[in-house]
Amino acid sequence: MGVLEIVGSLFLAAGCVLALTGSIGVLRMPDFYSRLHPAGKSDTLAQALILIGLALFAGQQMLEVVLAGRAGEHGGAELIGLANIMLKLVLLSALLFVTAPTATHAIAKAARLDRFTRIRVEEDPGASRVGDIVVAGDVGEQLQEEPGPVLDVHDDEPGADADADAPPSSHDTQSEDD
Amino acid sequence: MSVALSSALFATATAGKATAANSVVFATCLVLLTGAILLLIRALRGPTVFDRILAINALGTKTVVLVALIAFVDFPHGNPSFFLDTGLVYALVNFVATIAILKYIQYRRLG
Repeated sequence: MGVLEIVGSLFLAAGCVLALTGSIGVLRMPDFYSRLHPAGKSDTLAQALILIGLALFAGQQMLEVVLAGRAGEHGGAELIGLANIMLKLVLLSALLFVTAPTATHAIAKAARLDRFTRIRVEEDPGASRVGDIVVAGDVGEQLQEEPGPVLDVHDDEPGADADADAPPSSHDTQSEDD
Repeated sequence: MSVALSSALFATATAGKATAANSVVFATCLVLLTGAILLLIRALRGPTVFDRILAINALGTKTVVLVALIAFVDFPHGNPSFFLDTGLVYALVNFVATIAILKYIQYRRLG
């Protein structure tokens, strides 16, 4: 076995581990939304590892053709064929890398919008819990103090307009002084 | 079906001229078949229809990888190029079929 074949075998072994754990996860996880996790992620990485491992096998064959000095008349076509195989493997991996997460996202969204699998907001782990966090100087207390000053500002609106008119006049006087 | 496929692969891999790389590819095929059987159990058992769609989608991805692996079982002698074309088409069909089934379930029509 050449060096690239050994590296490719390691890639295949890692892909095997990911594919098998992903399948076991899909079978064993308790509910649908937790089953999305192994099915969506481990499959995407497992296919990339296995296909790149196979591309390394083809790369080893290409390396042997070059090192044996057979890259002449007949070897040129062989090299082009091996490059074609590697290109198709990388293309297949890129295609699956785009489509597999998209399909998983579509499944998750369809299940979220479906009325039979919809979960209540109180039990939804994806819902925002920012409003439940209690911090010092809470925003809610400040909003309860607001109404008085807001009404006062509304009553003093002509005064605010006068204040707004004042600065341009001062600017004008300064420009005239200059 | 998977048993017949396994026996065919084993006959190919053991018919002489099998290198160590071919054995690794064959072992990977067997592991992926085991994972496919586990996904099939989930697809048959799944409580909701989305469990079944999820399992079949993952099974399709595994099938694409399995087709690419079968191309490499007798690698230096055969030509894997045609198998890889089949895998590309199957990946596209799998994605479009998943989206179409989801759309049909959500809107009850495909128009």
